[in-house]
Amino acid sequence: MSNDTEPTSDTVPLHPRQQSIWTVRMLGSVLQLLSVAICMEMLVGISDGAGMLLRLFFFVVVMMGVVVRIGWLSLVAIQFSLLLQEPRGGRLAQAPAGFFWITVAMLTIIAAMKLPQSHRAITDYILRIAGIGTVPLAERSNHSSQGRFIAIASIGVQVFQLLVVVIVAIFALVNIPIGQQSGRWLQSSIATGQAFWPGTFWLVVIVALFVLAREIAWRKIDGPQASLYLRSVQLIAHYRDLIRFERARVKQMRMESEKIDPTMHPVKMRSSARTSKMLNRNKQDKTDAKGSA
Amino acid sequence: MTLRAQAFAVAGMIGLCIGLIRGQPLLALLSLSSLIWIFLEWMLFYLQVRFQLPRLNPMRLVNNEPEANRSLWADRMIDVQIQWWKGLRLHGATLEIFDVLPENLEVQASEKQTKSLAPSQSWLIGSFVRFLGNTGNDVPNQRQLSSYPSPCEWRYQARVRSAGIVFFPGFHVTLESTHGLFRLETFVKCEQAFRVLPSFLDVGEYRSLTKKSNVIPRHGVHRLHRSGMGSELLELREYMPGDPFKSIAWKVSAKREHWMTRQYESEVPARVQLILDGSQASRVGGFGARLLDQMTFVAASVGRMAIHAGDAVGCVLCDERGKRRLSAMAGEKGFQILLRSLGDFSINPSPPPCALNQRMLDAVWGLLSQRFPELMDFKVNQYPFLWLPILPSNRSRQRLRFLIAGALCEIYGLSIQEQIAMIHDDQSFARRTQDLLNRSGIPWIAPVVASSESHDREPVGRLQQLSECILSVVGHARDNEVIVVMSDLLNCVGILEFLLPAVKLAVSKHHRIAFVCPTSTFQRPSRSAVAQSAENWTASDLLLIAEQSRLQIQAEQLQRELHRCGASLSLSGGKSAIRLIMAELDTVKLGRSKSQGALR
Repeated sequence: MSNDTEPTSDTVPLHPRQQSIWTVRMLGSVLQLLSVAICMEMLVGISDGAGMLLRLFFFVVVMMGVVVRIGWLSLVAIQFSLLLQEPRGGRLAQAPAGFFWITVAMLTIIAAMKLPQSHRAITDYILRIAGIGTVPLAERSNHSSQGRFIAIASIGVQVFQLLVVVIVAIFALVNIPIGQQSGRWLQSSIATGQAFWPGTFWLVVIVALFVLAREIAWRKIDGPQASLYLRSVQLIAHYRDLIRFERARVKQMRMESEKIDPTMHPVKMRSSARTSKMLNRNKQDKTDAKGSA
Repeated sequence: MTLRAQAFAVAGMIGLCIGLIRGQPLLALLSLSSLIWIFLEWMLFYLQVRFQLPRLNPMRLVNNEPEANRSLWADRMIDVQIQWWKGLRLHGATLEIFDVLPENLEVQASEKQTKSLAPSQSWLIGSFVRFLGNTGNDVPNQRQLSSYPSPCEWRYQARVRSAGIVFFPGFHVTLESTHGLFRLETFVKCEQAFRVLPSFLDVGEYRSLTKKSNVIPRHGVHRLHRSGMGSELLELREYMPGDPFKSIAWKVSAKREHWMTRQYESEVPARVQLILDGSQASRVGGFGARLLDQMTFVAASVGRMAIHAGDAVGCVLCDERGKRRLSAMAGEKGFQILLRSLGDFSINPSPPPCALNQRMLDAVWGLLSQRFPELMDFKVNQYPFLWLPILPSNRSRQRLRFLIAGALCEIYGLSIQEQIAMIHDDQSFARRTQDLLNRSGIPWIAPVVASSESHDREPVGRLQQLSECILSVVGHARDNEVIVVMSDLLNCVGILEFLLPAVKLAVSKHHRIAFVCPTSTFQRPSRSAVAQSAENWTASDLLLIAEQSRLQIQAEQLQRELHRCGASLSLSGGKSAIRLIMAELDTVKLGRSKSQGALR
């Protein structure tokens, strides 16, 4: 039998059961990708008049973004759509569906970012709920009831976290004294007699958060990192002087070594007439020695 | 903060600014929500780093033993088990634990990994394939945890490549937040060092264990009768060329009408003196493929067989650092001492200095990123801004050099003046870099040593040292000893006059002397090494044939020179060399002048 017909590691046929699992998983992943793309299309709001090619292009771009793990592109796409379609000068209070819309948009963006890591687990979970036993027990990530509970609870926590985020954002946006709120801010300031209200409050909050973040980041580093940081700071501060010292040291070393052994520096040797004379004399001595032998 | 998070944050900030300026509340709200979400993710990630990561506490068991005071064997499998804290809760984050292994270990690839090695056609298709088949657990010495309850142990197997040392430094741990926005890389130390003893052949493979006479010994005496030149007759056998004339049994020969020889018992055990040349040229190459590995294998096998037969084995280990002599030892304890000495001798010393190059920089960068990720952080390892050089490639190289110099100085505890010297002096930088790579268990291949030049820098000095070793052994020897010299002599054919006088002296003192000259191909040099037809030869095949032809000529010359002096030669560091030495040992015991049946 020739070597061509022998099976290699690349052409090992999969077991039919494994093949069916792989097919189901692939279908599940593609379906999840499509659902994210459909949500994105609805959020971005491509008009019905747009051509099929445009929609297809959008689908492909979104799916590619998810596959190559640049889910933040979906945020940019929605922002771009809002930039073009949202009327200027609108008020937050005039958009009662804003809260819901923002929540759905954020969920879609997070799903697009999370999908590369979790699409297999989601497929397995859906198959298990549907009672399709194609996934072997050994390959299930959360096979205990406790694990399943924790997984569901963590999803709930994340959704709750997202709701809190949106509420905090709405609260902050209402209180930022820029744009629509500037008139209200001015009136409040005049009424209370405090020229910088609520700017003072926000300034203090921002500075406190900044200091807190810096402090946490600094306290996170360990001994060697702190030592290296100090070394780097010292190096940056005294780099010019240190370089000058180093050059002087190298120059001095070279001069000292030249005094001890002039042949160690062939470049200098060429320019030194005294050294060339010495070398010629050595050559002459050698030829004399050979002649006498 | 990953690039993904930075892009996300930048998009959020730009959107917030535009939304506020243009008065588009939804745009501003969406952007502000994304910013607050990132901040919340960071807080959660920090809590995990603060409270979960320090309790990870991974531990390694090698062959089910946590202590590192046991020895391993070369060319054998070891079982590695990793355990960590059971109560680890990741809450959606991904934790990756990578057991950093030395080059002396070869991890056995799992079936899954073998399948995933199929070459991907393009970047996009490769990304899609990775997306669909993302498992994260393809490398045996790496585990990715993302679920709860996560497993708290895993096992993998590895093969030890060569004698010397196996040093496990610890674990490279990567914690990534739920959505991949934040990542922390750290190195958890879990240092374990194991001495690796050389492998050897079993005794029964080349020497018979059956007794030749049926004499029942007294109780408690387990004497193995062997042939030799003692006074007690062991057996009669047919005469063979090389047998001493004084042992011919004349009467029996006359009766049987062909020559018969008296075989006497051996009274004095023979001694084997092993001389190993561990010079720089013999240490170049990957672990398990070095010439020194072949030498230690032969030495351990010969030692095992000789000691098992009751003979004593001595050893002289020589290299650039000097020579070390082990007096002849017998018994199981002696064999253990011999193995330990060979194992320690196999550890590479400081490599010969070589010029700094880009591959060396890349190698040390990869090593530092893996072993000292916290020192390669741009926030703590900073460097001054310089206008020169202007070219981006040169600027990038300079930046790399600043970062590596900073980390190296921190590791070695050097002063800032030495750091400056390292940045501006190639020799100093290359020396430290080589030292770090060598200490981390990287074998002597490029870029640790220069690949293009010959590492046999002073062949004359090496031969003189070998000659001194032979003379030293002869000075300490009794009658009829077997001296085995293991060295790469193929490149020294033209200067053998520095060695041959010592060989002649040893032969004139009635010692047997055998040379083992290992080759990089583990085989005797021959043109038939490339077993393809001439039509399928590639450039590398032709180069190999040319190299083999050159070695073949040198081997023939070497064999001729050594035979002329009465020494024998084996041109491979494998079983044929062991067979040759055992034949020489038998010759000494029989008191014959020629060895029989030895493959050379």
